[in-house]
Amino acid sequence: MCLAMPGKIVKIEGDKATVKYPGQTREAGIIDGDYKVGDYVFVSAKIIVAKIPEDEAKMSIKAWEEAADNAP
Amino acid sequence: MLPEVYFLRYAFPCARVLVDLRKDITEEEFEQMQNAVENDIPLSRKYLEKVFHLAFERMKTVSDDVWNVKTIRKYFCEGHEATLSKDLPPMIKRLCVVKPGKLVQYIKGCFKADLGDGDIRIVTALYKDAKVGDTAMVHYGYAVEKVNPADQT
Repeated sequence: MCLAMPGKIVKIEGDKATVKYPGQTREAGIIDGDYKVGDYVFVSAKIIVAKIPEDEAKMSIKAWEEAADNAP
Repeated sequence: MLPEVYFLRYAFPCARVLVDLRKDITEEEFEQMQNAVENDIPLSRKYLEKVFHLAFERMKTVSDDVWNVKTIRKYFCEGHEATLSKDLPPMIKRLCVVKPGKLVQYIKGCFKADLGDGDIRIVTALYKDAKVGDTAMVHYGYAVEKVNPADQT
């Protein structure tokens, strides 16, 4: 199954955001759009692609963690 | 275009999963793959089939003749959606589905893409000479290839 992983913004400095994932954080550029600490986002190529509603993000993270637990 | 190059353009947007979830490839391999996709460097079919084995298995259900541009396009643009879990939250499913979007604005090396229904994304173009006004197939945060909007009904 293909599953895109959302992360949570924990810090913003200018156009750089720090995005937290289970077990790690990554830096991501903000190209356009209003983002604030606490937002859930998708990142690819070190760029924030889109914002995602919190409830969906939490569902997705849960699914991701369950899938990771079941990975061979 | 070589199927090796074309396939990687469509498959690469999913590659993060292979590092983070399936642990099939290392961070270094991911970076090599990113370099390959950005510079049209063909990776061997054998390597791609090892890494993206699920996509290859699924492409075989689309056509017996897997290794050509037509089958690759048909799988990613039509067959890929059916392989996604029904339980995926809607926004995540949107990201995983390959669909056309219009590049509406150029910002700092990226494009703002409008995929309809309020789905606006910041995407990185994987094809040369991308410009505002193009309609492109979008997978996750990437504009994979330019398409004729008249063909996208």
